[in-house]
Amino acid sequence: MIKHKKFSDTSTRVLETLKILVKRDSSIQDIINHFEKIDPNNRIYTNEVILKYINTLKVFGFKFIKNKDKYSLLNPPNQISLSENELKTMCFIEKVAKVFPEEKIKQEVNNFLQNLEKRFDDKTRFTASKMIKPDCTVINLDYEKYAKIIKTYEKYCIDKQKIKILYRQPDEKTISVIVEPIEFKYMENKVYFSVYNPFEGKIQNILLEDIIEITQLPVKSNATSILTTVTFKINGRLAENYKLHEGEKVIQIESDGSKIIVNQKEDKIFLLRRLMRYGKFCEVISPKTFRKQMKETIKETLKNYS
Amino acid sequence: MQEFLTNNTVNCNLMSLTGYRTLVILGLLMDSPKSPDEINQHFFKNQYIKETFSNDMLRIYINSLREAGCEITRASKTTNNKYVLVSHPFDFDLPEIQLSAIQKLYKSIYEKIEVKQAVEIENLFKKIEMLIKTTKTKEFLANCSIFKNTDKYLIEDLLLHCKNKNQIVIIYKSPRKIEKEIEIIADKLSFKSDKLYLWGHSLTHGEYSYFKVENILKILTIKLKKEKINNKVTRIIYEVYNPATNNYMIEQNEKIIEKNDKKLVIEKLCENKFETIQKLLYLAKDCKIISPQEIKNEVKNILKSMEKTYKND
Repeated sequence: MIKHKKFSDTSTRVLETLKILVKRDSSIQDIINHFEKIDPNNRIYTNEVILKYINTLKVFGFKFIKNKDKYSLLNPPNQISLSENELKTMCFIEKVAKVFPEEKIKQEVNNFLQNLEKRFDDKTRFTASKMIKPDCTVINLDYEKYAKIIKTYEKYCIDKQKIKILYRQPDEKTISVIVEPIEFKYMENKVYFSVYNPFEGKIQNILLEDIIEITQLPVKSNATSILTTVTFKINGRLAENYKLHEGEKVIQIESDGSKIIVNQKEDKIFLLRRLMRYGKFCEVISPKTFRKQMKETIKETLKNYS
Repeated sequence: MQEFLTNNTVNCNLMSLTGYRTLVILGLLMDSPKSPDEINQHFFKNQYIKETFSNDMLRIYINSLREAGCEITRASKTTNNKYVLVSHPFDFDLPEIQLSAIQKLYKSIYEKIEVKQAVEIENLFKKIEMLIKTTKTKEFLANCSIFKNTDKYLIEDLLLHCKNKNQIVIIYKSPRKIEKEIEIIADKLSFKSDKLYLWGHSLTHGEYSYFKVENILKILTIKLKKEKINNKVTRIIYEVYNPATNNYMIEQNEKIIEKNDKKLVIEKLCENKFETIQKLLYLAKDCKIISPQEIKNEVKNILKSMEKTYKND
């Protein structure tokens, strides 16, 4: 026999109201919508009932201010205390987020900072109010020229639908590919559109400046991607020193200390260049096509010195 | 509510008394474990409750807290007959979407901001990590760190030495796990391939070198008198083809001596040969060294030994 534990529905709802308000500023309607979503008994919630729950919290000692129709909790449980230096760092992050070109990232970083601010204890609030906001210049973060284009392409990443990209290759020829958008990558002062090419089973980083046109297709991206694995061997000082890149793992360590590494997520053109940098301390093992590509690259480079 | 503010009295129209009592218990347990008797004592003294309740009634309030997501032990012999609040859903936590955003932002910009600024950001992450109880969030914040294996106080010290161009002796653990003393005139800290390096003229090696900061165990001494050194500089001329496609960025010690649609001719005053050769290998067939012959030969030999690896294909 299942023993049902007795509890007070009203108490639970008061606590649930506290949970909502701890996480985010909410109006009475927001709270009603939340309860209607989670209540298995399909009860009707009125403004008066929700106000009663909020009043219970107020009598207990929680303080609120009302911003338009939203209740903002001023003293959530477990408040945080930050120093002036830490507050200045928050200002710096806020400034960086302002110049960052992706709207979604901007918004969530601001939510992160607001979340922290909600938890400030009185001392921190006082310090923040008296502090002169530092003049932090972020001169090396100039993304203005990309802002408009990223705003358009960002939508493709959110929609998770396949897209057709027409872009310029290094040899100036144009090529059209059907890919699945992933994210933007910021490398060495340039911005790349990182996409998954399902036909070739690889990740491609396409320079934003090389993109001529993008058409969104009415086909959803697949949840899973099958990526070609590149296996390479590193030896000597490189093997002792090597830091794994994102998506890499060591699958074997040989008796002489050399390591066999697999890489799936890196754009193959970038990977090839990176492995070239390692000189004689690196050997591509598979796939055959990539090994051949490496061999050809070495041969072509040597031609410069013949 | 107006009536409450005026008279400081409560009634069932204003608020839920049951809900209030449950909040009082939550507040008590957040403070420390409490027995049913101790809870009743607080209830009796509370200006809005002023009464005690049976153990069955208290259990209803405790179950309400559990229903809301609190983890509370039973009041038993092992807990000294006290209810213990193990965890609750009102703790400070951050949703994954915000964590992912802050991680993405930081990892996109850390190489472009000052190292000092990156250290401050990571100090803030560390502070937040300590305040959070959720293991998943703690791990996420820890993984945001670029300086994972590096002592932040050491970084701050090195930044100061670089600013003053001090001559220091460091204990350095080489990749082969051998500890050695290296004397260096500290110049700068900067990132290379996601790792932080100390750059400077190494008196031990006789050239401008770079050392991974996470392998620096400590700063042994600071020399009061700096030695006068003549940094050995090699003038290298090389061509870069398809510069736009290659995303070629001119560095501080480089200048363009010739430019057209197809190529750039660069003059580089090279202080560290190894680092320069790595950079030129990265450009592969889009780079050709013109002079000096010594560097040209060295790169040619590297390429030939690389070619040997694939000769049986």
